[in-house]
Amino acid sequence: MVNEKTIILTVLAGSLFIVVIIIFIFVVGINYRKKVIQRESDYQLQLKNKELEMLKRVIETQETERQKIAANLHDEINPLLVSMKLVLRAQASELANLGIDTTGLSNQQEVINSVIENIQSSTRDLSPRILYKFGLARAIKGFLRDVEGIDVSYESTGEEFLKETETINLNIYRITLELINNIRKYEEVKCLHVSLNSSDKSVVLRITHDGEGITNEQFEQYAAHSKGIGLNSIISRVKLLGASLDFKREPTPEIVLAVPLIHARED
Amino acid sequence: MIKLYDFLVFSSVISYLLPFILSIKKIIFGIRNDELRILFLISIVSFLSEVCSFSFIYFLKLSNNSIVQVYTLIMIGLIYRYYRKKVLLAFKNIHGYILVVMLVYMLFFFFYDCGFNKMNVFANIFLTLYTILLASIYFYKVYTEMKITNLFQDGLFWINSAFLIYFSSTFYVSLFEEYIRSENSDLLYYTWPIQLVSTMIFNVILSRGIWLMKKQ
Repeated sequence: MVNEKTIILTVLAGSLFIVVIIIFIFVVGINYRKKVIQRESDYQLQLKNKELEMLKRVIETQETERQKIAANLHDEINPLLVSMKLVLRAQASELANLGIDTTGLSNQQEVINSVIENIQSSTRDLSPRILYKFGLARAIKGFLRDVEGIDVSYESTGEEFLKETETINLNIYRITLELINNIRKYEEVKCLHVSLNSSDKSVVLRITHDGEGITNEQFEQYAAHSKGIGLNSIISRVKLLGASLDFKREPTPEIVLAVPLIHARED
Repeated sequence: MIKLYDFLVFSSVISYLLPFILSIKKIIFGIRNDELRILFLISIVSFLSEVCSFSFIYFLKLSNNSIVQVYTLIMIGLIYRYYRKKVLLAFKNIHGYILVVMLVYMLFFFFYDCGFNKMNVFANIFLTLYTILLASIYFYKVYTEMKITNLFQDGLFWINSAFLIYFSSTFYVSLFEEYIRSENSDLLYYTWPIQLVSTMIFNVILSRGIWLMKKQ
């Protein structure tokens, strides 16, 4: 005979059974959501890694090509020009001994000198040997020394932390060159100060000047509408380094590039 | 207790109107897919069977077993139709054969064997277990394929949950129903509310699912 207590227990068990099924369904739903979010973030990470890998390859290829061109200019074109210059000098000397006017030849020698200087400068830009030989701090210093018409000052600290980071150095160097060239090109600048502070964790490059400066939004706008290589190269390299690039106008125009060294070293 | 029971009976019958009205609204507003049509039929069949059952019991003083048999027969067909494209693609033929055998058996039971005044327990259990199995396969498929971004915003997830909850509780109640009926049918006033509450939950969740259904 079924008693009331058994029935109540059966009802309670039945209610519990329904509650358990409802909880189970909710747990499935919540777990599923977590799984989807996890999968989505994994996918985004994969995409980001792929993009970085591609950027890395593009930049590496670019650098290799630059080095090849620089080597060709330095090893083949430059010696030819130098020998041409020597021949012209010898001919000018012979003609001068014969009492013939050598003004034309002298002009040609000057042109050749100028071409040689340009080639040397281009070679430096294409493959900065000073960077590979003496490091980033000296390379930036060397570049700034050649900047004409602006009062340039430079300081650097923590150079010892930049010894085993060749790729990072090269990218920071290229970004610096591009930024300074843009400042010279688009701003009326009289004073420029560059500081490079490195630690075991990061490299911070700070460029301050007395021009108008731009904001981050403006930089993004210029980059979005730019068809040139310069800004895109900056963005690609910043992305590759996992760095941040911050533009400020107030109180003084300033550009801050912060590169995390740990992240870059791991890469 | 009887007043509470009557209230639950009335509420559970009325709750069938919720998915019924929502499915009509969705169909009027242009969502005319197979799933919605089947859900519309499920809600209308359930509503009519409840109304007929209680008319038989309260007004005609007759057993509702014949209604339950017809309801079970139609529901097996509708559940099969509902899940056919979702989970039965690989075993469509096998399920088709099982279904035909089941229908023949039910018709035989209805007309020759026990008649329509007896409860076809086997058919009831088959319907509940068959639906639980299909709903579980659907959950497994969704969980492994991971094509849906947010399950809680997916209409089919709610509909499937509704089926799982309703038929699980039906299965649970049907385990004891015959025994209690044979001992003291008054005690069904205690166990049957489980079924009535789960019916209301079923209709609310089913409505949520229909509400979230989109044009395909």
